[in-house]
Amino acid sequence: MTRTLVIIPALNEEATLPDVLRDLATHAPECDVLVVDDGSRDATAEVARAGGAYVVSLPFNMGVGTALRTGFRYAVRNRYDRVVQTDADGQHDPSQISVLLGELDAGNDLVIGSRFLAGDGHYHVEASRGFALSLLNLLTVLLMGRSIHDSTSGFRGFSRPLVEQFGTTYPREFLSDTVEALLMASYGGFRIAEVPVKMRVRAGGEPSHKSLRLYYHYLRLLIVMGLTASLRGRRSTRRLSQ
Amino acid sequence: MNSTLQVLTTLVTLTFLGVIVRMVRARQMRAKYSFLWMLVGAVFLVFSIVPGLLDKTARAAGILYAPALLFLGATLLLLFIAVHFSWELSRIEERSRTLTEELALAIARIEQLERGGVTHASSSHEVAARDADPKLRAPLRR
Repeated sequence: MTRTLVIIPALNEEATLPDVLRDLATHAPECDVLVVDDGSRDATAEVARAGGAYVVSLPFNMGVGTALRTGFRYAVRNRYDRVVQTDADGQHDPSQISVLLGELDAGNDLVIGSRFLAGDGHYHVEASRGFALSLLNLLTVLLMGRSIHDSTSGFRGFSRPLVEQFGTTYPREFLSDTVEALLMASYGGFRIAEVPVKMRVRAGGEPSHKSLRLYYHYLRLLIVMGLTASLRGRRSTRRLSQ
Repeated sequence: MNSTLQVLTTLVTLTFLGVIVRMVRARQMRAKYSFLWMLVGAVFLVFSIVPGLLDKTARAAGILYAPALLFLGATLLLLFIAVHFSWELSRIEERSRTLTEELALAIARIEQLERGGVTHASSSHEVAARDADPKLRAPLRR
């Protein structure tokens, strides 16, 4: 039997978590759920346990990347065949998990649930964020040779081989945890797919970062990507010469 | 006049070296870090004891104003040390991140066992298989 673990990184999400867990139980009853409590100061862990999820609590706030890597390690040790990452604030619709799993079954290693491929245009973003996202899209075209429309999406499916890889190498910084991870998967030769999923408006909680810090993170990501890309060029030539 | 300065700088350098050695002996500083500072102290000691050495060295290096050599050396040294510490800090941060994750996972597993709940990899042969598989063991290094 294929075992699936849904990982939910959660920071102070006691308000929205019960509904998310109830939805998961309804729409994805075959999946186990792991809430990684990222140093919450509210009752996130208790609420998660009451909702029937496994809980791992980090002693202090480490960021989504670290919370997720903890979940990957959990998945590897407990022999799950695949992992789904979803948010604790209810913007990801659990009924769409089957879409991600279907793509994993089709042989993909990383499946990105995209807000933008849906085509019905129901999901609008503000101009500045839209610009940033097109920049990231361009980045994926340049570095991966293909377009990923929603590279910051936190609604993803991971195959077992990729989970093992990410259990040691998953990036910790904001934005890197989505975009850089995507490129790492691409460089590692993993198969990547992007599928349209229906998303909801956030049920609660704040978007994770505000303007100035966001710009810093975009800049940092660009620099890191530039460095990684040049390194990758060297590595691939070395491999060819062997 | 010159000898007064000589005595003063020599004393300061010796005190500096003494503090370093004491810290290493009290295990408050690891030996690997102390070597660098001892080297710095030794160089300063030589320049303190031998008058005119700094001027001669500067002239040999084509530097007209001798103290500039001192500043140049100090700047380069501090730059090197700062970069080294950034590297060391990155390594330590990554290790503490891994430890934090492992600690959280271990606590979760202990709690599950205490509750009498069956953990996923609960039977002894599964745990043994897990420990034998290098991919499943805690990867402490990247």
